[in-house]
Order: sequence, then C-alpha cells, then structure tokens
Amino acid sequence: MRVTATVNGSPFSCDVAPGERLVDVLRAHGLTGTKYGCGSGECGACVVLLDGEPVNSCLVVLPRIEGHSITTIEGLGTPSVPHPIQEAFAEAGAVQCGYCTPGMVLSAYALLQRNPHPTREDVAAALDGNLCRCTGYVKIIDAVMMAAARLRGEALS
Amino acid sequence: MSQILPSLERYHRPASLDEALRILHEGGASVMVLAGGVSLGMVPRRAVRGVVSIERLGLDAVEREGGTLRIGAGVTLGHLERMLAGDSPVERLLMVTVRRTATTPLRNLITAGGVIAGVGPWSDLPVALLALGADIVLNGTTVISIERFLADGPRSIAGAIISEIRMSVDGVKGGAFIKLGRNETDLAMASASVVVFDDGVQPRVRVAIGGLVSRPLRIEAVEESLTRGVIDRGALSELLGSLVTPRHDPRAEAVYRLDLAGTCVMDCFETATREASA
Repeated sequence: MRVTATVNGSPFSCDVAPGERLVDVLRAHGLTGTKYGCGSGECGACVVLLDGEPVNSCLVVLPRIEGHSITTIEGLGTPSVPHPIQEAFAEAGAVQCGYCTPGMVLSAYALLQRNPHPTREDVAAALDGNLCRCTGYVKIIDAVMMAAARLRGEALS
Repeated sequence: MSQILPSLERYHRPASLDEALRILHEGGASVMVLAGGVSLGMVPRRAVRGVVSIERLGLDAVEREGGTLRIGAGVTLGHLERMLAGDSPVERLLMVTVRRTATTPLRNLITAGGVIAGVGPWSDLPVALLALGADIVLNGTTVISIERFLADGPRSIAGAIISEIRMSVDGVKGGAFIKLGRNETDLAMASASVVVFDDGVQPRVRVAIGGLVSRPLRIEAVEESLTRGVIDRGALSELLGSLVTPRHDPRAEAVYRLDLAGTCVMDCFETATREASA
C-alpha cells in the first residue's frame, strides 16, 4: 500500500506492506540515525517524533504515519550545523557508544519544546523511555540542562 | 525488512464508526481493531489479515460535561496527561495513574481504549477506572460498567469498538493510585487504587487492586473494613489472601505480591482520605 507523510519537513511517500515497521522503512530510506534496539518499545533507541511527540518507531506500522509528520535525528541538525542539544551532548560527555543518543536527543527536544525551563527531575522523567547501557545518566541530564539554558539564551557559568 | 505482523494484508482507515463496525463484522476473526498498536507484537502472527484503525473515528477528545468526564477511546495516554487539569480529585487520580504507566514514548502511542481492550495483570489505568466506577461505551451507544467488562473479560466485547470511557466526577472527594515494581517504569508487581465518595449521606470507598491476577479486581470486602476502620496492614494482606490467589512469576512470588498489595491499599486509603478531608 502507498503511504504519504512528511519526514523531516519534506514530502515522503513509499509503497510498503501494511505490517512494516516505521524504524525499518526510515533506515531503508537512508535515515540510519534512527536505531533498532529491542524491537518492543523498551529501549528507546528507535525514538522519532510523530507530530512532535516522541514515539517508539519499532512499534509503529507504517500506515499509521499517513498524513502525519515525522522528525528523525537527521531533521534536527547536521554534522556541520548541529542542534544546540547535539552540541551540548558532545560537550558534556553525554555520548559513549552513541547508540542511544539519537533517541535521547529527540526526547530531549520534545521536552524543551514544551518546557524551556525543565528541572533535572523533568529531564529524567522525559527520558524515562530511553535506556543508556554505557553511562549513568548524569552527563546526559547535564547536557539537556546545558542545552535548555543555551536555548533560553543564558550564558553558562 | 521485518514486519510487526507479516500476515497483515489490509489496513483499513474508516472515517465513521458504522463503517469500522461493518469491516469488523465482514472480516470476522481475521480482522482486529487497531488503536495505539503497542500490543501488535503479541498478536498471534498468522491470525490477523486486516486491521481497522480507529484513528479517523473522532475518538480523540477529552470532554467535561456537567458532572461527567468523557475520554475518547483513541486519546493517547500522553495526550490525556496533557489534557487533565488536575483541579478535581478524579483528574488528579487519573494524572497520577497515567504518569505511572509505561514510558513517555509509549504513552504517546498507548490509547485509553487500548489499555482497556488489552487489559492484563500489569494494567494501571483500568485499576483506577475500576475504583472510580467508570463506564465504557461500546460502538458509541452501549454503556457497560468497567466492573462488568473486567468480570466478563475482553472476549465479551469481540466485534465491538470501545468508543469512550466516562465517569462521574460528582461525589468523588479523594483518590489515590500506587503501583510497585522493580523500578519506576516497570510493570506492576502489585497496584491499588482507592476512591473516597461522599454524597452527603454516608462516605464510602471503592478499592481496586492490580498485578495479582489476570485482571484488576474490585475488593468489596476490603471496602467495608476500611470504611469501618477495623483493619490494619497485616490483616488486610491476610484478607486479600483469602479472596484471591495471586499469580507467581520470577519477579515476585505470590505471597510477596499479597504483601505489596496490602501496603498499596493501605497507603492509597490514607492518601485518599487525607485528600477527602482537606
């Protein structure tokens, strides 16, 4: 069946079997920043934004995105012009193997869109669906707090 | 590419409830209702040839009408969390319960109707809805109590579509939901919800527990004892043990679940009565 949507601000359409997962189709179309982890909505490696809200793309069948907007990590920044959240993750040392990072960054982005002044507890709650098996979460939360301050235009001490 | 449901041939997106019901009727057992899709992976892989999405049925509103709160079956838990005002005991209880359900990305997929249709021992929201005495609306017209639905089981509504969940907010003075798992986002090993009602004549409570058996249960014998103030934590766990035989799994053995459930009920009762008397 044919599915038409918006991906990273551009029109997107493809012919797929109705049971195909969003994560697989995105990756097959070169958007490999979205990672496949558990396949059951546990780890958050595959998180993308569906109409601005984070969802596990391993649990979304492709027809579900018909007429909707999807944002992947490629839609947020580029290697030459990273998003402030991506910059903050690099600067804060919040990345080790990096497999969870795209999902973490997108969940953080959704939070900061809604709440520009989060507490550390707000950040932890917003990232409750994103597992990192390399680090503790301290540096990740540091990074989101740093990004929030920068996006608010505050100078960092 | 792997597929969630390799056998899936047709994805229907009807624009009306009538059309959705017709497709369901014609498709028989090989067609199922699709809400958030989170449990699709648990469907027997060869059984389903078609799904009927509820996305375009207009079941996505949260409305307050008089003394009634109405939640469309297609409302995601994430949306519900953002829509609840938290200015009444009912909305505060639902907010607490939703925030304890799954994770943020999952809550943006899971729907209010889906957690009822796919109810299991781990379900959170149905525990609170049972304590609230909520009703569910089938096919836009048929109203049944969630208590009856949970007693009869999900198979009792095969071929129907849950369109709405509704509950009275009048008379509800306090409510609480507590869930215990291994961590914040774990499935419930035990959970409970207690709601205090007062219609000006006689205060009463409703108690529901989850995590112990296949579906949430209302425990009327406990309601009576709590209202009369004649039961303590130990006696409560003992009483629960005489009423239900909890399941046992590697996360928690039956006797431990009973102990947890007793603790959840007592703590909920204290929180709900505190809110009611504030």
